[in-house]
Amino acid sequence: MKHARILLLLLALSPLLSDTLYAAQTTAQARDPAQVLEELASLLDEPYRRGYAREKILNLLDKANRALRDGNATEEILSLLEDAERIHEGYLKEKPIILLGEALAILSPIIVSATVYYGLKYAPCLLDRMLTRVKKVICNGRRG
Amino acid sequence: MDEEARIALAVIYGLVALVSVMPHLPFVHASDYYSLAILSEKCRLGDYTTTLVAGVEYRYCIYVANHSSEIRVLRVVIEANGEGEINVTPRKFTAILAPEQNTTLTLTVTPIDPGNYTITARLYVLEENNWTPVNVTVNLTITSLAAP
Repeated sequence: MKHARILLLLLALSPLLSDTLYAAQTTAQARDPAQVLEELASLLDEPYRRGYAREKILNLLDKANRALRDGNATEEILSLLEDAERIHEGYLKEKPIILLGEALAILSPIIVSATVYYGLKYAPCLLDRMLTRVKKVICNGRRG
Repeated sequence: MDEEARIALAVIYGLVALVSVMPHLPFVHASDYYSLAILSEKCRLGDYTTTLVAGVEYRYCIYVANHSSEIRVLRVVIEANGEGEINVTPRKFTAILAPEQNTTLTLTVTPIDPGNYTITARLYVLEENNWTPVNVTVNLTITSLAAP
């Protein structure tokens, strides 16, 4: 009785399931390979330029190029598109840190200039003061 | 050390820092172009034959490089024109290339009839789902002799 109910339920759902599967299959087949490639490039471009997971991206591009040479590229590239989406998601999570690093890199000439200028201005005085203190400590120690 | 010397040294060190940081910034890129070349079978410059024998298969190397600042999808389309029939495969190929990345592909040429032929390779870039021609074209002029 229980098995018969499950069987009936499956039979009732089967047209719905087959429709969903057919729709997914036709979407994959209908997608223009050029459109998929452009999507792949747009997903990976920004992470690559900002130095995120470059090795992974280059490997992925190598796989895509091999698939393009073999001829049956669309299905392979669609699976690579999922990997590219994962890389892009990872990049979005780390984007604030990457942007902070870039801001520091942009400001680095100013930071270096200021450090050199004030270093040269005050470091000799500070060094002189430190040496005077050391001298005092040594002399007091000898006296004591 | 006087004030002027301090300022001069600060500026020099600042410039050194700027020059060392510049290449690593994603928005700084000096060039924006693509390369296309027909090379010998072993992908060497200029080391290819231009006098062929009809009915014999010859191989050449197609070299494509992306010197733009973005990941690009590039397509090479091969055309062959001449006095007779000639087989050229493949007629087109696509590659997805990162900045400063290149790829090569073997081009097979078999002249069927004797005569003069020109093989032209044209480069296209994928932009907004359209293949936009890039002003990069390479010609290879060959002469096919009758088989002895």
